[in-house]
Amino acid sequence: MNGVTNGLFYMKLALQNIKKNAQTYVPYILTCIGSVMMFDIILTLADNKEIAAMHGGSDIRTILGLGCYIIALFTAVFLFYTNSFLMKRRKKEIGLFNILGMGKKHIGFILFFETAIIGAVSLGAGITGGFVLSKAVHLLLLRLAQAPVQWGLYFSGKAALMSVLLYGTVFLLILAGNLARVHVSSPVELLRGGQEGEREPKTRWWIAIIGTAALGGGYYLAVTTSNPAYAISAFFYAAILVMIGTYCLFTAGSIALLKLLKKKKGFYYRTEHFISVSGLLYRMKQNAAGLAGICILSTSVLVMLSSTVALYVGMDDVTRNRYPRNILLEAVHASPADEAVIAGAVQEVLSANGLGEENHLSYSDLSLLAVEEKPGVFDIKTTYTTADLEKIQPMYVMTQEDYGRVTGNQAKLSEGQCMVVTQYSPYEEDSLTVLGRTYQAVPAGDYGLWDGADTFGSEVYYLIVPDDEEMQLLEAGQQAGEGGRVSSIRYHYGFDLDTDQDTQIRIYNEIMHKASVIPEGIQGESAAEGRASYFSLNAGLLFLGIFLGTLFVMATVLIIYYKQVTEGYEDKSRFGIMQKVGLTRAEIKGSIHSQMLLMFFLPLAAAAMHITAAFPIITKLLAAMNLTNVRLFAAATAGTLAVFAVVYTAVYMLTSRVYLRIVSS
Amino acid sequence: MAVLEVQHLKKIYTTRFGGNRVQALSDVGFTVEQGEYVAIMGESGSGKTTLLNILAALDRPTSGSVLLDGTDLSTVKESGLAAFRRDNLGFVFQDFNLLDTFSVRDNILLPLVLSKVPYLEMECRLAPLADKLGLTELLDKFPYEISGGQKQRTAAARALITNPHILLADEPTGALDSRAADGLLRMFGQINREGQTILMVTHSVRAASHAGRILFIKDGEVFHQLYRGRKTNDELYQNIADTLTMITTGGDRR
Repeated sequence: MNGVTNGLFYMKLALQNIKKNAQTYVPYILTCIGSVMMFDIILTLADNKEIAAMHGGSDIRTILGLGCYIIALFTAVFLFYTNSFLMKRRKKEIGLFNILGMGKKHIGFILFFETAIIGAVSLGAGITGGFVLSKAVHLLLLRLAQAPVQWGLYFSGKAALMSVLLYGTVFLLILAGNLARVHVSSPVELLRGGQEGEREPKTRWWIAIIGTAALGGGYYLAVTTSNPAYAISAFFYAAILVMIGTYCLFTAGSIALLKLLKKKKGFYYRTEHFISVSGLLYRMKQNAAGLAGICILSTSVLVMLSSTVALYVGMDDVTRNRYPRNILLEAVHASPADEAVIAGAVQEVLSANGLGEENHLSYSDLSLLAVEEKPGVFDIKTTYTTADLEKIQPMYVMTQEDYGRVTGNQAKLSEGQCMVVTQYSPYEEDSLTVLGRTYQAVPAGDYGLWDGADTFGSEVYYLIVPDDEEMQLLEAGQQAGEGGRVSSIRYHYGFDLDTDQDTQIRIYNEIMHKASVIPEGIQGESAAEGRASYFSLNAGLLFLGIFLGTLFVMATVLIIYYKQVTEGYEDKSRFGIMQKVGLTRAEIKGSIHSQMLLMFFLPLAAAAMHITAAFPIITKLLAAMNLTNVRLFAAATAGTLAVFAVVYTAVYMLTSRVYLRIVSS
Repeated sequence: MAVLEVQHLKKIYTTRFGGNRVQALSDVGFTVEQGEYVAIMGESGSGKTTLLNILAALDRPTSGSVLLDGTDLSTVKESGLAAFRRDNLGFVFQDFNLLDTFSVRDNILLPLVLSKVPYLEMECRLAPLADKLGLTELLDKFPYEISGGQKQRTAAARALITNPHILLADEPTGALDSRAADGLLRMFGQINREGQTILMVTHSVRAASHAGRILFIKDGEVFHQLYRGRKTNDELYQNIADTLTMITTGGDRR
């Protein structure tokens, strides 16, 4: 045989192998195609100039770029995992080739051609599919961002090239791994392959303990973290701890528990427990890692979807929290004349447009980022150390006159007194010293904040002082410090408008123009303008949530499918024996069915538990993104969980047909 | 007293669409007395397995009846069959049929657990039985850790722990080497002397030579019977071998 026919021969064998193992290989190839496609699509979108040019487009691009990395990393790891599963099932077949006289070199050729075929199909179909589908996904993104439709078909050469490079490398590494695996094992080992001794799993107590500790730690962090500033890093640590905990508890914890049950003779030797406990023991031994994977993926899908959906749906809340009024104007050191200029400009523009102010709000404040040196004593610094961060206490200084006007509460403070209004826990000290000035603290009683002054979970002090003079002394006090001026007294003027977004933006611009005669200048914000950029940001996040959610669900489906196939082959022989030993078909089916249900729904139950524990910290994270509507988030979480559970059950039922087909064949 | 009475048993298999009819048993009748050790011999295709399946209530006869301790098997309801089998019959199979997820102890206790016997009573029954079958040391091992002979003894213990009316053995030495087979057959002999009724289906002359009576089946009928009388195992072995030769060379019924 010459080289060419030789090559053709191996090529043919490789093709045959793939066909013969279609039950496991077709899902694998579909996963490869899906992976390439998703990566190609998201890279195409990130590379799309039209998206970059739209309002808030740079935010979306950043989010998409982040998505690229996540998808690349996840799919690569996942393809390795799937491949190792496939190779385990094929050991026997490869051993047979070896015994029939094929050298390891020749087996290597076959593996090479198999990988080449799968790689070519995956890349070809993936990139083609990515090109076609990217338009649909592009339109979905525009729809979410409520941006005008862009019709052009866009092919990104860069995305295609990157896909080929990334997944080409992945396939090469997978091939290298497979070759190494074949190389180090003897034919007899390979032949025995699938059926290595059914050893009873050992209890690994220390892993179970580590798992419990990690999970407990993760939950503790998630439930107790109250400061939104730490929420992001706390969430990150909690997520890692929960992942470790999930993995350890699924692998070691489940087995430790089942073995404990087994030791309780009175419990174990009962008809309804006997077969289930020992059956589950072996199922968990073989499936724990996969189930932990399903659980972690499910939890990520739930977290991503529930929070992004909540952000997207709660856009109005977000805008309102970020912008307490539709139009907000700010001037530094505004004199009574300046205040009159602002009020005049507003009245003039509004009456010219036939509109009126609603929910008027105006006051002056001085914001201080104070550090609590000891209880009741505060100071500000020019640079803050990490140790200071934990003692930081944001403060807004206001006069009792402004506070009274805004809230309707008359504080009646006299010289040397102050009142600390808080949102969460009342100020407990008898006095308060800030910037060297000491006040007698008058209890705030029932006095609270006004509409729009929400502090989103972190405590902020509203320091009410008797008069303007006192506030100016504080302003001067910080300016005398080593850092020079840190902040100034600012005048705030805000109101709502009952009109559409475009008019609001036009009116806002007119007012800003008219009021710009103020010597220190004027700053302002329009909620309508801000809303658009929030919209594209949150739409980008929701898009990524859906996109990654789809990917993770795809991975979950594949793992469940493979588990059903393996379980089917394992149970086939057991089924027959049990029948001969004196169980009715109904009893066996009942027992196996309940075991399978328990096994496959354990990850879902654990995921539901995780997301419940994560709820408080995600609430804090969302608060940091200006979403404080806990009810909305709770509804989004419950909704996502319900939809996910339905999808999960459907997947289970569909794949369990494969299982039944194998068992009863 | 007859433990098992088989009368005019007939079994015809019909292919699914009613095409071919295969007569597996044409007219089988025999009785097994309390405490007997009976071997049923026959070539493959003679209807041995069909007979055993019917005796085990795994299959129903076309006509004829099987009475176990006076109870007609055909009167036992389908739903109660598994429990009936568990409580009245013990099985030993050629390929052991041990569950690999259970230890030796749990494999033996399985039928008792299914019959909801209290755990203390299980222990009381297990200890002497395991001792008799030489399994005491192996109770906490798993099937993959023990030899074929030990596996078959485990299977026998599982069959005997329910104190069955009759022990049905299907080619019990088929998967064992000769030493393990001899050990198992000696053990069967011993439990039979202690009063256990045994019915064994086999085509091994050596296995059959341990029985008290041998039935030969050919073409779906009991063709011949052989009683041990006062013969030793070796004499009986010779007798069986001669009978088989006679049957295969087509001799007439004696």
